[in-house]
Amino acid sequence: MSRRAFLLALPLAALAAPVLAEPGLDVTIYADNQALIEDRRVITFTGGRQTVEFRNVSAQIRPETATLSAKDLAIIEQNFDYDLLSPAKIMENAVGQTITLVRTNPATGAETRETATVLAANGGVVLQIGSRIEVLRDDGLPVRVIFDKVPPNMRAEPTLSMNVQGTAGTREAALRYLTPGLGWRADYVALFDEDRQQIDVQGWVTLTNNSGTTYQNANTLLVAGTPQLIGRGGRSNLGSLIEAGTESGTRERLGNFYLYPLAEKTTIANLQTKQVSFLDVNGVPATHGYEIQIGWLQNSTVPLNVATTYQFSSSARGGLGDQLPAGVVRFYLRDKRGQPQFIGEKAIPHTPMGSRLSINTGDAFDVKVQPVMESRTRVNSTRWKTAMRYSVSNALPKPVKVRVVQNGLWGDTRLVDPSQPEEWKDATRAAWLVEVPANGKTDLTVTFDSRY
Amino acid sequence: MRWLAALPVALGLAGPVQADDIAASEPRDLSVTIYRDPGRGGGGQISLERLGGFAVITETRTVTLPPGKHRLRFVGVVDGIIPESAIVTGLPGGVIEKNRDAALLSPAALFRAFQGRSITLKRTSRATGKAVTVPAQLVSASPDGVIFRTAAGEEALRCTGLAETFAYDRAVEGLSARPVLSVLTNASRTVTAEIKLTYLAEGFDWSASYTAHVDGEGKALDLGGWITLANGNSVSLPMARTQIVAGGLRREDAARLRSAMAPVTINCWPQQRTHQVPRKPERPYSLVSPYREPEEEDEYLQESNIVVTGNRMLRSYDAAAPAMVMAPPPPPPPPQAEQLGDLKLYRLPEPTTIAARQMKQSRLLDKPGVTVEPVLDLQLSAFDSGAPDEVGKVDAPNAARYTPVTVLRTRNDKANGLGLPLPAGQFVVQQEQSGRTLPVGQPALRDTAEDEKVELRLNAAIDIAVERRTVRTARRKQWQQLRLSSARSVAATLEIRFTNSASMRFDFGKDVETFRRDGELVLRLELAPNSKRELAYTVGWD
Repeated sequence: MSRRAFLLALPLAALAAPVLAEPGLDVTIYADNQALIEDRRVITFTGGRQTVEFRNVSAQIRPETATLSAKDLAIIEQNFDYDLLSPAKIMENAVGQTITLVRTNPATGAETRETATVLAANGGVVLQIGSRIEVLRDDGLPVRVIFDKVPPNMRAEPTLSMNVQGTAGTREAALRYLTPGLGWRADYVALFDEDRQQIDVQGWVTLTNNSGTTYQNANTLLVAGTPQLIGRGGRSNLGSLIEAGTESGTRERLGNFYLYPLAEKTTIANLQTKQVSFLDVNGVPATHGYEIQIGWLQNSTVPLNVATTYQFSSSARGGLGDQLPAGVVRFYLRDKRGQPQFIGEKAIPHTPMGSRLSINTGDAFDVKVQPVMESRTRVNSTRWKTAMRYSVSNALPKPVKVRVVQNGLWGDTRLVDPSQPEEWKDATRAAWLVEVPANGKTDLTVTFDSRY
Repeated sequence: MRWLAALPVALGLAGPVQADDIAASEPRDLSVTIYRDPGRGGGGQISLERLGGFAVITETRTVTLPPGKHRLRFVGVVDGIIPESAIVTGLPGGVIEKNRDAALLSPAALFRAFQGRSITLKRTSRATGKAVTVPAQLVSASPDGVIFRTAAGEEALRCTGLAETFAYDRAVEGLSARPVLSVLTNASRTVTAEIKLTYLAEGFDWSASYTAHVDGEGKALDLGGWITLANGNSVSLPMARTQIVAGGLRREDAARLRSAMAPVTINCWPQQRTHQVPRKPERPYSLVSPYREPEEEDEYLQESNIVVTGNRMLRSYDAAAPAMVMAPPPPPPPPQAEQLGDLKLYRLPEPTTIAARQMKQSRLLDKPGVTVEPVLDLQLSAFDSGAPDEVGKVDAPNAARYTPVTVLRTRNDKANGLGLPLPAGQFVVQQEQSGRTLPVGQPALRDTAEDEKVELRLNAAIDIAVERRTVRTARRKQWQQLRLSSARSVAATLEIRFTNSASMRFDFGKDVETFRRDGELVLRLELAPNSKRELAYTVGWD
């Protein structure tokens, strides 16, 4: 709602105290679709009981969270009126009262006026006109209904009103409330340079306003720390955050939250998406790799796509040097003509500074792994030997390294004669870094001796 | 729709001109890279009604900025834009903030914007056609109805049976015909800059469509491929450098901003008439659907509406049908795949215009004389779970009959006439059979790298029957029997693949060829023309 609409709407609420100005608006937006609004206005108090109305509050205000604070002010009662004005409501309210009917002659257009009393508005409107009873527009002919006045408790928009008593004088009062409909997340643009093995990263704060209200010239503060789930689970359950960091940044903190204040006052219009830059780092070392997780006893007759991953750090030393609010990282790569092309995106959680990140941007077209169970023999009732072969193929004209992870090694499972030494990721996962020559194939073979 | 196209101009003239509002030029250079729907799998067709892919669009525009702070507007971006993905480069003063306003000009938005403001009420007499205008104030507009105030008092809009509407004296700032992308920037002196705007947009898709003509013996095929790309947006991309990207890249389903305002509906007070018996009288009146008087004009309007819609649908089908059936003539050389990280990028040979709501085809490849091996393929579980418990029950009713599937097998290498990346797509395989070309299958292909095996699964070979029964079982052993029959006049190769066979011991006796492949035991048999064959073997396990 623009300020002009607000001023024009004032005559409708003649009883309310005039609100003089808006000295300030603070908007604090949390990452979970929640915002704290502090609306500071100058109000003239009469010294007696009076009603203060706030009309241009968020249309989605949570009224139970609203508080008004000013010096020498006592709040008697707080009302949130959302009995919205509508033709049905106004007619219901007119029961027992007098309305004016204007009938239009369909043939000539001539108008005749009558006064009627509304007897009932159940299903249809029953009127008393003089001594006869009539159903409104029962004959289907045009009839205008004119109401003398709108009942004062009905509003054109949700309105917060407060019954207050304060010592006489003009002073500032602050209204604070929570509202949904405002939210933010981060969006990252990462440009990977294959030759230098570096990334340039830009971080943008994206805030969205669906609250139904425009916030004019607001001091805006964004708070990170409330985890927000973005999107559904992806095609791989590899977490992007592979090592949580321990460094403290220079960002302002509040308890467990990081604060991102916007440098300038800004207007957050209704139905607007706004982006402000908060990170711009060039030439951060990054590595590119391949990874695939194989399930226990997984046999495939076709080669499986491996995930292509990009790893980098958020550390101040050799990394982005900042904590990263939850958001989506979009990866770009320059094509042969130098134009950046999109190669995939991944959501990341709130990431402390000093963390290591591995971003899975999707499937590799040319690098695949086919897991094949060669044999499975019973040694005794609790012991089996399973021979696996992982055929790693590479159709690229350069050698690659693929991390093959075997999942599900529960119980006492030992590795017999692996074709290359393994590395245990945890008790149930063994990993190998398999080197594959250009346009070539490498077979990784291992036998699992599992006892239950 | 013509009046709608004229609206932005009218807005620009009527609205108060803000000094800091500058529009960038129309795009001078356009580049579009189209990505396929990641959820579509290998096959599937794309439909203009529901495009799940996306595109990255790069526009080069010029702008002249006087000194000061400016809101730079980009008009004519694709409507499927994902605003948070937009990147603006080349601005000397950098980007202070980016905005995307989705408050669109609509009847409901006008109602909302003029709530509490002055409007003009216009009533037209149905008898004389004369219009009367009355100054009024719009009191309230909501999903429950519209109320206005005139000198006489409060009234509800269109509850009267009269033809009445509002006229607004001017358009409202902040409402636009399309979502508008803008950036806030600073200029220290007057500059003319060439800026690049790059963004992701939804409502695009592409797919590879392959046609394979198999020779009579089924040992060679001529392979052709089309790139079918589609733009479901209402914005055209004229003379765009066009690329497509193949490979399974990852996309997140981040929440998108709703761009619609809450609707304003014309609702009235209860309007039941005496002949209308309420269906459920005890329910509150507000649940009674709003009364609408049947009028001759309305009926006429409805009828003509139906005719118009029908015409439109027919036309759109007419327009779409030839595009799908008649492929454009192949341009000189099909594009070479270019490596883009771990994906494949194809450039269309020349810039092309991708019109709004258009499907377009371009040649992907032509590979005549690809050698293939036709094999009849059948997959069986090594353990026959339908075997009877009792021992020695020959001809028990547990026999199961299977029909193998014809598979064309080859390897994606130079020796077989291929040797190039094959993006995932839908095949249409046709074969010459007794002088006619018949469709024999529509298999899907996954993303296939060089030197990878290719298997095209065609229709079931209904003239070949395979019957399996278990004639005897022991604690850790099954005596199984296969009966094979071929009604074909030519010899055929049958491969029976036994799955879950890693821990099974097979004994086929001598003279039967078996081998292990891809973790399965494969039994390979040559079937003579019009023949029957029986095979007895045992399956044991620990």
